Amino acid sequence: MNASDPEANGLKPTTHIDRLIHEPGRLMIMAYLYVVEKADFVFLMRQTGMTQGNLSSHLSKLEAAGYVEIEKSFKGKKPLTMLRLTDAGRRGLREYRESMSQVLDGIPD
Amino acid sequence: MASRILDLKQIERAAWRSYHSDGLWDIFIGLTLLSSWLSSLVGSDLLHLVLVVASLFVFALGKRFLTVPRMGLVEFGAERKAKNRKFAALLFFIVLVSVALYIVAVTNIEVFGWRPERGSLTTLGMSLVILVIFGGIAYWLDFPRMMLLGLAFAAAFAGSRLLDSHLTFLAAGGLALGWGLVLLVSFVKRYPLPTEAGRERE
Repeated sequence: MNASDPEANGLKPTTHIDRLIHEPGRLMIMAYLYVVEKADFVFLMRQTGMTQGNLSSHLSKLEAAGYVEIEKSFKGKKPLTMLRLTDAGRRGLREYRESMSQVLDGIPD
Repeated sequence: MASRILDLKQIERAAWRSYHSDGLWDIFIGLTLLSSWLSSLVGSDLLHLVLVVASLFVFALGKRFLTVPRMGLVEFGAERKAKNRKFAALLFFIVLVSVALYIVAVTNIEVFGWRPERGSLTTLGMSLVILVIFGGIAYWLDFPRMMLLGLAFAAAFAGSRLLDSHLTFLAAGGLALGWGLVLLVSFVKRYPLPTEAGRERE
């Protein structure tokens, strides 16, 4: 038995877990956007407790992956950034949940 | 298992409730109770109506100018929207029943052999109705604090009838308003307005 082989040790493989979603900050963003239709930047900042710069950086990565749709406009003179999860993003989060479930199910209490 | 790894219902509920942490509901109920006390002092139903509408304006303006700029904009999911529609229907029903009861009380007509009286049984019944209504609102809005406000409302109503004094409205309204203001100040401190420099990074 190969000790470095997780499957041989009874552990489920983790290679199929989406690392982009797995990052805690991005996972939080995806989870909040999953439970709403759409939300603006400020709402997400309040709910996640992230700084503006941090949130902006995570959102850019999620947008590049096609998970988040960003729509910029102005409300009066103030910028308004509306965010929504794309279909790919919703699918991605569902698959991530399933994958994590499978991996963690194998760990005894 | 998947729901335990990422409890999306809990996340949605927390996001929804954070919108009510501004104390504006408490302020609205407090002002409504105080308007009952004030209008009973003056003896004017019209004043009561005007003050309740003014309280609604305070609520709406507070949401528009205090809550939204600090908490941001959000459109909740289909399940929550359906729940809100049911809540709106419930409110509409309550308004209809209230208007009907008001007409019955003013005209003193008999409805199916029943004539409204000011006995203690009627008072108890009406207090329970108030509690049930607020319980319904608390459930539909996912907002347990509303049940406490309902309790204050029912106690003020029952107290005013049993003690024959409208000071109970003053006491309950003052408590609700005070609590709402404490929550509002804490909300404003916890969520300052986003800075202009930060907004440019969005």
